[in-house]
Amino acid sequence: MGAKKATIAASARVRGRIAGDEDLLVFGRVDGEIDLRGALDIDASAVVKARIRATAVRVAGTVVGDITATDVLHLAPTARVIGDLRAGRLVIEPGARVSGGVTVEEQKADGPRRTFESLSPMLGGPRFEARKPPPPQRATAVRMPTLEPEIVEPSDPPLGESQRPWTPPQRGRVETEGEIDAAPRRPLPQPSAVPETNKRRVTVKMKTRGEP
Amino acid sequence: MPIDATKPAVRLARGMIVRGELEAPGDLVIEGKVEGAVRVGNDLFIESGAEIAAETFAERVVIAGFASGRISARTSVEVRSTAEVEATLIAPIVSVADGARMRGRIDMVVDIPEASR
Amino acid sequence: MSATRIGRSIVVTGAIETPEGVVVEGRVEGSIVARGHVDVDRRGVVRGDIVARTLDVEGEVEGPVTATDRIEIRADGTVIGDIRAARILIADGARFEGTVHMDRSRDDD
Repeated sequence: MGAKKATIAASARVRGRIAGDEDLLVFGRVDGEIDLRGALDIDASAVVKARIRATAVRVAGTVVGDITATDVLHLAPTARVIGDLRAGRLVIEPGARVSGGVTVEEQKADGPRRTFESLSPMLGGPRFEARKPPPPQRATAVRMPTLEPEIVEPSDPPLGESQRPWTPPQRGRVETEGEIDAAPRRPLPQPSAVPETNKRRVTVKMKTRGEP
Repeated sequence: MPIDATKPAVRLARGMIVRGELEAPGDLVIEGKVEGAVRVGNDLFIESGAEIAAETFAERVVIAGFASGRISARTSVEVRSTAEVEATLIAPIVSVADGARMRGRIDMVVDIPEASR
Repeated sequence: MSATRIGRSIVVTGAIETPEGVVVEGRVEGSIVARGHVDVDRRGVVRGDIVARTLDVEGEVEGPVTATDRIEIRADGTVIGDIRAARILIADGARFEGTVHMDRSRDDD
């Protein structure tokens, strides 16, 4: 057994954004966003109401939100998903319940393997009506817009302020009756009952270590 | 009813093209091209290499070829690895195999269990 | 048994609530409210409130911390913010800036 994986336990609840460069197991609740470069496993007990982006996603629980998997998206028989699915590869097991758009396009280094060639430019929707026959040969290849799921690079802006390099707090600074204003940052995202924590009134009662 | 591809069924051979309404009371195996409306009393097979662009109703649908339109099944729609789907799939059970290409929708009633927490 | 573990590369921006505990090896910007034990690992960073039964800090915490039982700031740990607990242990070498409120009468909050 290797090192323990990042986990949201069954009884836990996270409201906000979870981002990272490792695998994550979710057994509990998440409301917000999940942005992962890694494998995301949503267990049968989990309820995730979030926009999900990850390298690989396995869903055995409940998801309300769009799911984008750069590589494979796997829905187990117990999956319940309301949202649009986008993946390089898709596996849906019988029993999974899905309501939403589905876009699967194999991602290779040189781009999608091939484009869809439409017999007729119909993409589900209104009742089909008989129309004039198309030309006898295969219809002109309709180049579907290439869907490129976001490949999240380390410096990619969408990861936002939480990926800014952490600067160690200045050592030895003593504030008396003042307010510590942590490094300026954008307010924490809604919705959450997170109290404003950036400013704290600190009364220094203890000595800091002897540093300038 | 279990699928038995060897059982005699109405078979639309490769090279055949049907435009219009196609109705089969039992099983239907499509190896050619169909454009229009398809109504199948039992199981519908869209073989690898076949193409269907239609409003489709069947008991059960297995897609191994190209399918576009809206495909409704009373029991299940199975999308195989060789399939290319540009359609809305409507069935109580939908399965998609690794390798299948798809761009469309899956419409099911999804009951979201509300957590009691 | 799988405890909530915020992995090293994970950043949670928001609120974590659990009746159990949390291990923070990565970063939490927001709040942690736990009824169990919270462990801020050596490389863990929390900017925000922590409420727990017991709290061990080996990393860095910036924000008020409250423990119904005990708070321990280990030698590598840093806490910047008010501490409220029934028992407080600050190891030699630990860094702390804030106000300490010892509350021995506090059983459950």
